[in-house]
Amino acid sequence: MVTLKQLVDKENNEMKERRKTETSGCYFVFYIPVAIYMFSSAFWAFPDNGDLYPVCMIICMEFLSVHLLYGYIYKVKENGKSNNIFLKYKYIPVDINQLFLAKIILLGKKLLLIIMPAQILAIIIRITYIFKDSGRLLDIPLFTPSISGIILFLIFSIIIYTNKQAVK
Amino acid sequence: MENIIIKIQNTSVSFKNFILKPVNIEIPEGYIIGITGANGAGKSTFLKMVLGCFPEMQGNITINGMDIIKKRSEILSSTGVISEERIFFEDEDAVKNEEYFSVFYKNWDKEIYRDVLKKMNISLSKNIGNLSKGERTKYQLAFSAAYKPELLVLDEPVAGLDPVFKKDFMKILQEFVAEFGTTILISDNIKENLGQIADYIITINNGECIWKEAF
Repeated sequence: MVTLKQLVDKENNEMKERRKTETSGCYFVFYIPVAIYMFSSAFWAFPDNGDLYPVCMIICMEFLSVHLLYGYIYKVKENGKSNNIFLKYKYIPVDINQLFLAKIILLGKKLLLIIMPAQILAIIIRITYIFKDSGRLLDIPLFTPSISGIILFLIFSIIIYTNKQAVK
Repeated sequence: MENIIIKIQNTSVSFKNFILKPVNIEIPEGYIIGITGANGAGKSTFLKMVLGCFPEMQGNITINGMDIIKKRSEILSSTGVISEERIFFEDEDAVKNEEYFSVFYKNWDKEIYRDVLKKMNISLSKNIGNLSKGERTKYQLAFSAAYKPELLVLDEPVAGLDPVFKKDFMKILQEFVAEFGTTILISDNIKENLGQIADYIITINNGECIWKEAF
C-alpha cells in the first residue's frame, strides 16, 4: 500500500505535470499575482493599519492566485470543464480519506511557501519601523500574512472536503 | 469443493425511491456470473454494493475473506472495474494514465498493459477522452488486465454497441477467465447476451435478486 508520504509526493508531481499540460507551460505567469500578494500583505506590517477592507482584498487576490496556481490539487480541466479529481479515484485502490489528507498536506505546504516569506518580510518591516520610530512590536496587522494564510487554508480545505464527499 | 470468492450475507441497501432487498449469495471462484434485469431493476446498484460503494448498507459482503467496507482499497487492488463511472484522465493518453495510477497496484505489469492494448488496437498516444465507446470499454479491460485481477466487475459493458463488438468482447472475456482465472460479474439488460458466456445468472426484479444456473 502507498504510504502518506509517497502519496503526498505523488500528488505533488502529478499536480505539476497536469498544470504544465493544462496551461501549455504558461502556469509560471500565475506566480506574479502570488508575488504581488506577498508584498501587499507584508506591507500591512506598518503599524496603525486598522483598515480591514484592503486585507479582504488581499485575501481575495490570494485566493484567486492560489486557485490558479494550485487548484490542480483538487480539480482537473478536461474538455473545457473543471472536474472533481476525486471522481477519478472512485475505483482505484486508495483510501479516499488518506488521499484527502495527502491533498490537504500538499496544499498546506504550498501555502506555507507563500505565507512564510511574506510573514518574514512583515516582521523585518516592523522591526525596521520600530528602530526608526517607536511603536508596538507585536499587534494583529503584523500577522496579516499568517492570518490570511490560515483563512485561505480553511477555505481550500472545505473545497477539497466537499470534492471528497462527492465520491459516492 | 468450490472456493467461494464473494459472500453476500443478508445485504441490502435502500435509497429514497429504491430498495435492494436483502441478498444472500455465495459466488464461486473462476466463473462468469451474469446479472440481468430490466432498466432500473437494480443491476448497477447490486454491482456497486459488491464494490463497497455504500458504506451505509445493511449486512455484510466479503471478497476473499475481507470485508468490502473495511478493506476496500486492498480488495480493489485485485478487482477490475469496467463501468461508465470509471473515469480516467481524459486529456491524457494511456501512458500518462498508467503513470498516474499504476503506483496504487502492487501487481501492475507494464508489459501486459501494453500487450493487451496492442491486441485491442488501442493507441498508446491517443487521449482517453478521444476513444470511442467500444475503445473505451477495451481500454478499461486492458487497464484491469495489467494488474491481473482476481475479480472483474463489468456494468453493462456492451450497452449500445453493435452485435459484432458484443460477440468479440464476450470472446475476450472468456479468454480473460482462461488466462487469469478471474471471476467475472457482468451485467446486461438483455439476458441472451449473457446466456452465451455466463455460468450462473442473477436476475434482479424490483430490487429482489434470484440466483440460478445459466441456461
